[in-house]
Amino acid sequence: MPKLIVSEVSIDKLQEDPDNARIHSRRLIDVVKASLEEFGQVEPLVVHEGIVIGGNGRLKGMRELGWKKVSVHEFKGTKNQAIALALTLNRSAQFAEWDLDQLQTSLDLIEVDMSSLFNENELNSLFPGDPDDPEKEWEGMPEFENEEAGAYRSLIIHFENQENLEDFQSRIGQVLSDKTKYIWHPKQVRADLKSLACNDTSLPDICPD
Amino acid sequence: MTPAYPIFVPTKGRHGNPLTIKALERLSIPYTAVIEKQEWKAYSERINPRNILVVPHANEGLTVTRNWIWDYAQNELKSPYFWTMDDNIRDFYRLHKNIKFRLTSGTFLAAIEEFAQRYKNLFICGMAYELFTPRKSKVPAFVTNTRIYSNMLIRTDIPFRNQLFFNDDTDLCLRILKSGACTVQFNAFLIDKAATMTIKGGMTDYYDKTDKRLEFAKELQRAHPDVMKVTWKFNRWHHQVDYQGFKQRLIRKPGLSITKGVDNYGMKLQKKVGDFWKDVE
Repeated sequence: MPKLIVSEVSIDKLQEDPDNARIHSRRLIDVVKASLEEFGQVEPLVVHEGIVIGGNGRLKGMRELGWKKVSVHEFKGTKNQAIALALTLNRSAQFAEWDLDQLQTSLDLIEVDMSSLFNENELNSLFPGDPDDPEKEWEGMPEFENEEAGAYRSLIIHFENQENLEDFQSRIGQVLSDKTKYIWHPKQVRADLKSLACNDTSLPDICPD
Repeated sequence: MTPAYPIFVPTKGRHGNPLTIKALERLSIPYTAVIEKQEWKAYSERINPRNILVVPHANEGLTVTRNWIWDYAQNELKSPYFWTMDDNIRDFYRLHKNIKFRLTSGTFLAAIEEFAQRYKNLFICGMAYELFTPRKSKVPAFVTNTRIYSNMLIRTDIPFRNQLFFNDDTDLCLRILKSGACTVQFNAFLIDKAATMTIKGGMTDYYDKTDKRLEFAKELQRAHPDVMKVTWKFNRWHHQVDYQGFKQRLIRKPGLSITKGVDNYGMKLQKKVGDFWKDVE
């Protein structure tokens, strides 16, 4: 197992990985810079023949902060191995998930500003608590009530012949046409929805149709 | 009462029958039709030219136009919110007591705006489809954290824009939800719209050149493989998004004062009897 050897090099000697498959957002750079300023460099960059294969985001942050010297670990493998390592370093972190109880405990403990890591919306998303109560949030809005008013029970009835169909029609007092897909028993009269409207009576004219 | 924020209707190839524009005019709601230069004559014969805005580009798809509108609302109008409505909405309804009442003024949009402004993490809201909201089912006044289609009240200052060529509205909602912010879809207010791809419009040519629904679904799946799958059912391709993982709550703005109880904003549920409107009990 090769040893981890850390050395200090001039930042000008390092090149960002031109084949890096990860894209660094502005937010990531800002988070990294804030960490570097708060804690300093706590892990070496991983370098292969002058190219950074692990820590390109940190390298950008260090450059923006004007750092001259940085700590690196030189990877001694082949170019293909270096590419594989770069992908592994980036991909492996994506397999981890948050233990939300522990995260909550940690956030409660520390006194460092973590708002750049977790903004209010993200914390709300991670720790949503009880779901929104639409009834409570609807306060001060137009009246809204809507109950379950569907069928108590629905069933499919098969008729062996026309005679049976006619018998059924006469028993329930309803006519079933070829287009009938369902009926209500007792028969329900459809409300004339065209004659119903939600009018703003504070306005001078009401839409006529 | 009229809505406080501008309403834009991007429309193309529908000057003969601009559904949303007709619906808004019927309700005397101010709007701006957003069109491309080559259709100026056709639209200006149908719509008051004062209600028309011409985009500086042509034939680049709806996403480009939607973003142009967003920039215009934010930078030119300095408006904190704006509405964008597809030009396929036939009507607007209010659902209450298991009845859908046709809306006859723009007051409901003002009510929605007031609701949206209560929350600092509500980025987009809009009305559900009337067709997908059976009046006999028990539904809440609104649901959070789902997709908003065809009609959107958008906060202009959020760090998002439309990106995908197809399904850009679903993609936009998903990116917003993944950032931890909320969306709200109202059931208390509904839109009646024509089904996508059933009437001619600005995207018709693109639809005809592709395997339509499959192509749309695949584009969306590439963008959101974590929450989406493409399925074949009812004889066509569907995109199926799982919104259940988005559990963020609405966060009220500090110092908010909300009227206790009901505020109907002057709206009354009425029934026409002869020539007169009578209140519905």
